[in-house]
Amino acid sequence: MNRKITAGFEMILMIGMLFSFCYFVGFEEVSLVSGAEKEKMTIKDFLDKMGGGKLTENQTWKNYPISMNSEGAGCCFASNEGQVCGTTSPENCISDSPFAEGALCAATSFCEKGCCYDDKSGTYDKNVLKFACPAKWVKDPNCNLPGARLGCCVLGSKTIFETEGQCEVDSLVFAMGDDDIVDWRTGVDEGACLFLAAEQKEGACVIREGECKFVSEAECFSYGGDFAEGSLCTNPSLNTSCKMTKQTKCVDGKDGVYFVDSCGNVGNIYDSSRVEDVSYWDSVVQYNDSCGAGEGNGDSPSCGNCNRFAGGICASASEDNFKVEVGSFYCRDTSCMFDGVKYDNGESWCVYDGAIGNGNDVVGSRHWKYVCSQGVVQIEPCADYRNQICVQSKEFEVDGKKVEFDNAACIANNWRECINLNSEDADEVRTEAEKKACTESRTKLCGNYTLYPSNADKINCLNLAASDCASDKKVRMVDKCSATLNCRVEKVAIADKFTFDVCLPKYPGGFALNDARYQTTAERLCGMASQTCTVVRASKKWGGCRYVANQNCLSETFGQEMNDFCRGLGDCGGSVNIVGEWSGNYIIRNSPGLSESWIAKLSIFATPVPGQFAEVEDYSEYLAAAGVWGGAVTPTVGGEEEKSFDFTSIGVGVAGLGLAIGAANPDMKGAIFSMARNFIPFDKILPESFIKVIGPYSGAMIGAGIGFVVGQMLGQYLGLSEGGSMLMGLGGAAIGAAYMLSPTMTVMLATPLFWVGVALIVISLFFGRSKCPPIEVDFECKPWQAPVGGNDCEECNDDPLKPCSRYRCESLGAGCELINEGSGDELCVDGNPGDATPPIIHRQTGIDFEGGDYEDGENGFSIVNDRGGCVLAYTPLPIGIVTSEPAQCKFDVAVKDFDDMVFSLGGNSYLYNHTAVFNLPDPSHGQSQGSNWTGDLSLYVKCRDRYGLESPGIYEIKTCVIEGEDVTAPKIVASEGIGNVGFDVTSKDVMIVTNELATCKWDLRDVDYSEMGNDMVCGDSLGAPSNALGYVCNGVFAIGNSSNNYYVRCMDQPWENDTSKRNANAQSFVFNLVKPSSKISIDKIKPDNIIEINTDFTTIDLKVATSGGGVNHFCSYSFSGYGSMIEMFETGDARTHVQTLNVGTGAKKIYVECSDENGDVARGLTEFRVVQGDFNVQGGEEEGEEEGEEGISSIITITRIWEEQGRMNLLLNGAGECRYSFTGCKFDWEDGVSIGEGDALSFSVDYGKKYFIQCEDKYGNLPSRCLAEIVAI
Amino acid sequence: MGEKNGKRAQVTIFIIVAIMIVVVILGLIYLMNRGGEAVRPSDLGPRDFIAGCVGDVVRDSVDKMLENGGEILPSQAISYQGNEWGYLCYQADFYQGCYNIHPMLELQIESEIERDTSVGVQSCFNSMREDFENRGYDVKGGATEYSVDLLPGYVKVSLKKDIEISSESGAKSFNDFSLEVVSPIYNLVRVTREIVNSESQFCYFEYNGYMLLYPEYDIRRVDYRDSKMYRVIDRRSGDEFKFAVRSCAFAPGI
Repeated sequence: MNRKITAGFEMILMIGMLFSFCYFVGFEEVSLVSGAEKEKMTIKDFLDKMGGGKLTENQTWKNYPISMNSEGAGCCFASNEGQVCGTTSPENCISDSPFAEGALCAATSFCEKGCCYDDKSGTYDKNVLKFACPAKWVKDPNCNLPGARLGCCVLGSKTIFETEGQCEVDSLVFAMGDDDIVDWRTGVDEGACLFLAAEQKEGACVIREGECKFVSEAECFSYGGDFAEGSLCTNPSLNTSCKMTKQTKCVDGKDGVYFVDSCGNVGNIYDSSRVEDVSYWDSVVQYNDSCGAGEGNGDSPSCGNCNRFAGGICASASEDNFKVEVGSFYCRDTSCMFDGVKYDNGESWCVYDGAIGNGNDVVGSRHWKYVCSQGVVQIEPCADYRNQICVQSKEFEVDGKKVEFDNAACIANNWRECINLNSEDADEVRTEAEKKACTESRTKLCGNYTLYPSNADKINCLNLAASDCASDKKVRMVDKCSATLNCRVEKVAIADKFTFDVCLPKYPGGFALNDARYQTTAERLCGMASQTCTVVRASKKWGGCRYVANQNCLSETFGQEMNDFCRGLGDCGGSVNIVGEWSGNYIIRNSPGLSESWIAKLSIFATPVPGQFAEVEDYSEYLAAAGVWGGAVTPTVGGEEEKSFDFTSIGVGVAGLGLAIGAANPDMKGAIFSMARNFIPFDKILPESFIKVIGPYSGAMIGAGIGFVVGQMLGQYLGLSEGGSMLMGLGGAAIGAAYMLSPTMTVMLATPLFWVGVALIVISLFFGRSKCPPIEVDFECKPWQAPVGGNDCEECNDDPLKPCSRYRCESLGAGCELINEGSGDELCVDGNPGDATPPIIHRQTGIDFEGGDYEDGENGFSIVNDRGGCVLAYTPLPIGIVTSEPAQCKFDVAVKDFDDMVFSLGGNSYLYNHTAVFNLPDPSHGQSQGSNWTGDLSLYVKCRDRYGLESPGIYEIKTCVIEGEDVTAPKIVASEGIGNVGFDVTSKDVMIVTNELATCKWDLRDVDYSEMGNDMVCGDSLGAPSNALGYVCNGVFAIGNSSNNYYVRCMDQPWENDTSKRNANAQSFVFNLVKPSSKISIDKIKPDNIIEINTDFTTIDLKVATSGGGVNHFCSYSFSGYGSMIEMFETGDARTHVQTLNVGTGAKKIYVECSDENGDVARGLTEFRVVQGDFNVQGGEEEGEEEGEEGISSIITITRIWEEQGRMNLLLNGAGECRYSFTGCKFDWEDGVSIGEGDALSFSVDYGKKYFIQCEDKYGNLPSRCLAEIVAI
Repeated sequence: MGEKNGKRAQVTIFIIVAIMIVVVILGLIYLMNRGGEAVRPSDLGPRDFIAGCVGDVVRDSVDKMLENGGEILPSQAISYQGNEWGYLCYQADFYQGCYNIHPMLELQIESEIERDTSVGVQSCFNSMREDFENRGYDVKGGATEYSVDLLPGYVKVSLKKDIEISSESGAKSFNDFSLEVVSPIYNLVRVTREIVNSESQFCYFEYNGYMLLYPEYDIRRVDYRDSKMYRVIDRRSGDEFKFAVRSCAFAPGI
């Protein structure tokens, strides 16, 4: 029973799989109609110009641009290389080919996809260019046309699931077509059609005396024989010449092995025990009543009742060397054994190279789908570079029962989207204005009668709107990440202030390891994990430093967690390859590196985890987002800082008290009193009586106070710690008090108080203050590099079930190369075994810079100005070297081992040419800060080849910087945050980058630096710019109701107290923050009502109209909610946004979200229903149709027909054109005779003739068949 | 005595057997040599000769179509395993579904076969004419009507040409030389259409599920670079249709 359920389920699953998994990996295409076209040209015209029109993939790779980013790229109809409709540069497009700059081909008229069809033969080809179609063409790329509908074509005892047109052709060929016997049945799915074949009645067809054929009734009819249903030709009662035999055969369309009679007719299912049984040759025995019913009978020598789903299918015994008891055929076992597990025919499962998910996929790994196909395990590698992942399900429910069936599929890996989500806004709190706007737009939507026809619906809608819009938080990155396929939120929590969330792919993508074209992108992606943790310290009271924030960044955990973050992005940082070999490309500064033991643990990821597989994800099961994205990691200081004791305030307080008390004694130090009175109105603080009582001691108190202050100041000047300064202060206070109490110096020296003070001061000198600057702990994440050498290359060739690929091979070693690519005999080999030649470095020629030159030396070169001297400070200096073989190069300011060198020269790949640009600071700036900066600089360069051989000696690049007085103002070299702002935004953070350390100010007026009213925060320190381009200053710019010009100026050398020595900008850096006059809103979403079709699927255009907001509007849509939106294909420029969708029947709900470049967002949703009716349109939208109007639901019918005086009169339900034909109901529209246009038509008729009438509505929509068949009598 | 006679008889039998073996071998050699000679039209009759000759020409062309994705020479192809695999669906850009670049494939193949075989068909008639003329016949021919149709299970070759072969003893006319070449190409092209339609719409074809429903086909797919190389095999005949698809190609690392 279970076998039957499984078999039945397999049928359902296999048919469903054709669509369901297709849907998973589907990429929707869209068509767009636009203006001028050159549609009269043909593809051949273009191809003929391409030298024979022959194109090989090698040429494609050589010439094809990687992206559209190149200048002027666009859609080219026919390129010089022979590509049709591809993105390329204009010069690569043949001269008279249509070209649309900046456009995707899917959005151009000349590359629009459509359906090419021939309804007579029932042939429908999807996604065809109009130029390429030799038959009829309509704009629907998915061919959702009535004639494309599939049904079950019954051809005798055989069935085919196909279009009606194809069935007509097949019926003719199989001699079923005479007398209109075309048995095409709708409402039968593919599986049912298959079983329908088994239900066709067959029997003996006695054609003439002695001659018999075992066929269906219809076939027998075409032979003109006598049909005996259910009888075999060997039935004695039929008196045929056909006799029993011991021969067997396989039958088309059937799984089993069948006996064959002496006339060649099929008998019953092979059963060796009944070969001599005469009764078994009389009549048909159903397979349910035959041997081994319900089983697959795989490898049974005696029973041929095969069932492909249960484990057997008819095959030749001799070809398989199988011993069968009778005949030559048997049921071949269709199950497979793999890794000790038995799989049924059609089962598929995932195989991995190691652990998967959570960013643990190892470099070079791939997901594999294996399939058991008729007893053979077939390999289906998912797309390399982990661009696809293998998902697997095991249990399914069929009719309430659980069925185990392994089912795997390769689906697109959404890893890029996960990384993109990190550019989403951080958790923004919804402002009151935003709440109001949200409520207004949602409330307005609730009033849509079509969507919410009843009051209950409206109330529900309003409640939901109120609830949604009352939320304080907008949708955040973590929310989106959690709701997005294949993404995960990684919480990086290393230290108290170094904690943030990041969206990472569950299955990181792989990078082209040795392809220089992709290195920049790879470096940028990996660079996301290059972060700095600032460990904040403060000096202890009694000397030494204590940690205020981020102490844990100094532990090994920092490197470990940052490397996990780094390799979670892709092939970055330190990771192992498919054979567990570790290789790392990362830099950790000021924190321990990764330990050997920790690295060794990573090799476990190269071993597959039993039972682990990627499951089909369910959006609803995503975990709620947790944590907050911290954006750029710049820990703030002081949040939890211990409140330091303010000794200065204590000292001042004590002294103040003393001064106040001393005021009562006119004999005592009146001068001091009078001086102090200028500052504090003491008499206002204490009553006079009190002052008089303590007057005698006031002099001592004053002395103590002064002594304390002086001691404190001296302690700080001497660099004592807090405790040391306090001791010195107390010592000073004691001496001061002794002085005030003693009339003479001699007396003072004799007082113990004085000597206590001296002792305290001496002791305080032992408590020196420690300098405790913050520690910048860096992690630099770079693209992963393969281990040097090529010892492991052959490992790629060992497993025939995991064929080697370029990516796989290159992950095994920097020296590994894939040979015989594309031959089927690919091998991964060591490209240069026994290499003993190190790379040799030379200066790269062809590089120059303004105001300077290069001078070659013995083993290196010098960078000089155009007079051979030193170069100006902060001048960009390009340097370039060439190596004799592909190598990686690094440099540093001191001679170091290659691995210890900090700076990369050139990219991450093994290259010939290595270049970098840097600038040098003014030495005087460093010197002024106590740094030992000189004007001379030497850079030491080393290179290493793929086999680990390093360049001999040290290659030195020398230069020097002009020293002298700095008279140059800082340059603003970059900015961030300027441009457009949201409608509700009241202030904007703007970042300014200067080429040297500076302070910056801004104002709404273009005035001198000193007059500018707003300081910017410039937190960088000399020699440690926080931006790759220079030193950063941030400011919060207030925004009014209209756009304003903002002026920024900077001044260098902030450490210089004398501003006259500093240089300020004489001209302002000006920018504008533009605010829209209104917020973006969604005006209309179509469709929003009922769409009637008569196909299973239909193609609709989801159209969204927006207004307000900024210049560019971008809209996204989703079927499941606002958490996971897909950007509409045609969006960004216009106010109408279009996405073509292929939808089935039923109720649909589509969520829409639109945003503009200002960051404002508008949301809406539409609900509509697709129902299956009697008629459907034949074509799509007509060009020039009114914007926003659907071209789908128009249905034309004839409401009345009558004949009057030889004329036939028609009334239509709307305006249209009708034509007639005599040939049949499905005549070609072009061949029909026009009756006229309008909603009331008439035409003269000939009596007795049969007229087939078709009508087309005003939009050009044509029902699938004629509307009327009439005969005038 | 009896023993001696027995031995003699035994020797005689051996000799007879040896002679028979030699005769059989010589006979086989003769027959094989004879078979190596070209069959002359005049031996078979014009209709049978043309059927055989044109059948071979068309069969070769069909094989070419199967090998090259439905073209005599693939117009857009990728080199794989030493052969050029013709693209039936191609998208130059990354991440986009492919364009079906050879719609109405049956029609294309029919015209390609006609184009490819027209010279060969004419050669068949020329051979026939030469042979008959060498034997003293007078041969007259009219215009040729030639078309090829792919149909389920076979290729229908419609070939009409007025041929009159005459000699002193009389004349005989022939007109219809139509024939059928057994080939699964029609069915393979239908499966190919399913694949191309699915690849262009979904960037994917669930060929394993398809094979479960239609076990008579063996569909193999190999991913090479960013293309998919398909082989659609008719299990019964072993004939296979080869083509390539580039749809929703992924860029590595970006």
